[in-house]
Amino acid sequence: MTGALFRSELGRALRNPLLWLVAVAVHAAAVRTRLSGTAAWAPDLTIETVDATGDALFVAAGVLLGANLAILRERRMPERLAALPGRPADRAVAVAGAFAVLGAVVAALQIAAYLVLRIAQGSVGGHLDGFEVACGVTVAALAAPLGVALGRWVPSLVAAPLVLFALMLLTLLNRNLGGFGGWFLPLVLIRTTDGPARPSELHLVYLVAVGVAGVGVALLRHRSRRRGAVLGVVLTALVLGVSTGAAAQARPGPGPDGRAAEGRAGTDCRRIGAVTYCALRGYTGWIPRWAAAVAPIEAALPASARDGLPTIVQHTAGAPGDTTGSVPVWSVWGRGASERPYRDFLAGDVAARATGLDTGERCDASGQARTVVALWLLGQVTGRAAGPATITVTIATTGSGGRTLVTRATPLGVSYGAGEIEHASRLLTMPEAGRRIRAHWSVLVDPATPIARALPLLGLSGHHHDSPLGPPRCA
Amino acid sequence: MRLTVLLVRPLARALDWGPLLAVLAAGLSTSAIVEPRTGSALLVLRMIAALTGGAAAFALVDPMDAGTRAAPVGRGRRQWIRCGLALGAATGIGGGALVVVANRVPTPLPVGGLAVEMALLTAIGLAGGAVSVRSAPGRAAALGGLFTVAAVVGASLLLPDHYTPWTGPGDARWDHVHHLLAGALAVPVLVLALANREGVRGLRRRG
Repeated sequence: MTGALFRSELGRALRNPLLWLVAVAVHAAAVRTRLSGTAAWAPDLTIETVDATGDALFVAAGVLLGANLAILRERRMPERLAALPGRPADRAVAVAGAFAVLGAVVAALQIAAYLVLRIAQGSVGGHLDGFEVACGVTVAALAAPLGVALGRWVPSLVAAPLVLFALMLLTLLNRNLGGFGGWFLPLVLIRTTDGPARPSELHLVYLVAVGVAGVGVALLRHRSRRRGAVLGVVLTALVLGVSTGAAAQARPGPGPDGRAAEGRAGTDCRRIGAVTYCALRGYTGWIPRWAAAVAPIEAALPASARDGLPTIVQHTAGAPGDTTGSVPVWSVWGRGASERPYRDFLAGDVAARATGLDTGERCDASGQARTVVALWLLGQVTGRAAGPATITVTIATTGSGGRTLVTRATPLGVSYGAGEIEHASRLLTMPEAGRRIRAHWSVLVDPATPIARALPLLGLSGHHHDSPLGPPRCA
Repeated sequence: MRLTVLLVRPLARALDWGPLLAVLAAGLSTSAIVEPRTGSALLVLRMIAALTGGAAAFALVDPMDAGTRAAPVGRGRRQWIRCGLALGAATGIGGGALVVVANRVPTPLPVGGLAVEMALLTAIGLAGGAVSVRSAPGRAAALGGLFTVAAVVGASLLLPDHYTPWTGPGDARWDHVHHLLAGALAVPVLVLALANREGVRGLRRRG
């Protein structure tokens, strides 16, 4: 009997456009907000698996409403159901089962569609946690027994919307501010690149326990000989749920601002050419992208200068660490057209360090020959002499769309003017520029060498008018 | 006019106040416990407004609508009175939540703009509810209001950042956006006018 009811309810649920509309709209929103425009970032699975399960929360909302309405159908048309042979308990199980299966399938499809799309884009960073995905799927499934239990005990059409309002609000507030229920909520959407591990496996047990308790609570409404057994199952599930929730809550967690509460997870270093790249554990997939920004500079340097190139080290925004002797990259890297500022930021750092400049120092490097060389080196990556405009990159994001930014006054950090840009532009058009720069390297990168003396060495004609820009001269 | 005044009392008694009362309780308690920061306050007030829109639609359900062939008073007048009563309750919920939240947040809230947002969300819920109540029987038809609000809000979240109607109080576009939102109120009002018309023909046949 329950089997036939289950198939009939599943058919009705499949024809209900609500869930499909929610799934398509949420997928469209995810693609629009996270994969396009200035947010077109390289895939970071540690972060995006959690975001994708957050999308499943909307599917869960649809499942809860759908299951609730299906149960309340008995009150809306009691005269049509009175003649049915099935008992209310059978109908409750059938509705809960049908919506749970459908919700799990829709959520799994939606999460998989997003993650497959991201992984197919290549240059994947981060770690795909199967437990997180399972939590997202389970949330969509357990919404069905909750909707059924609600319909049986509070048979009002507004009960489900109000419960959804409360759960959504708590989840959003918890994501944005922390607190507000923590791991007792359906999902915790706070995520960091480098925080302590999320207790996703404990949370999965918690969610399954809540789902089982939901079915039991719905069945307790009806008279049955198995009532004692059902009560036992509900109590066991509740004890299990409360204890796993409390255990997950007791683990050290990341704060809402993305700052890790614990130390770094460690780095994986690789050497490509003369440069060492150290990625946070799991992010070695981004090393080829960083190398693409550094390799043209490395190739343009004389062999003696290549050994002095800094190590490229990935940092999290919350724990910037020590960056002397190394060049930082962060928890975000661009993709497609959005990659350009990230590439320029890193290449500018490397070009400046290679010529003895320091991007961290706000000094005036105009009139120095090494500034022209640094701009020419940067031009090997960008294809042109970069103007002294500010450059900004995102180094961390929060689930609510917040971003942590770093800004540099010019691509090289130091100040320079139109004269330096013009010389570098002309150098970039000269095929023998590289040979000349390598031949006179030690003279050209000497801070004491003025541009006027470097011009004949570089094979450039004309004069240079040196006018100080304001900040103290770079030493 | 006299007829309208006479009808207010019986319709107020016939109205399904349950959902609006539930939202009032949920809204006021949420406003009273939410973290007193502008961001959370805005989020809570907007969610309460969406919920109020959904609950207001329940006021439009008239179980006798389909069965009464010759009503002494036109359907339009009855439905508009129901709308007015729901709007009064919605003003109470929204205003109450706004007062509670505004008193708890240390920085002054842009009350005018928020009132426009709340009025628009309520009107959208009423309009969606009016359309679905006209075309489907039973109390569940009122959920059409909530679904309409959810659909409109969901669609608005898909808009590019530059066109989003959900600006923060510090945003330079705040005034401009809220003038546009006030203008957009005309759309749900027009839909309400169409849905509250006489003659629920399809329904009569079914009933």
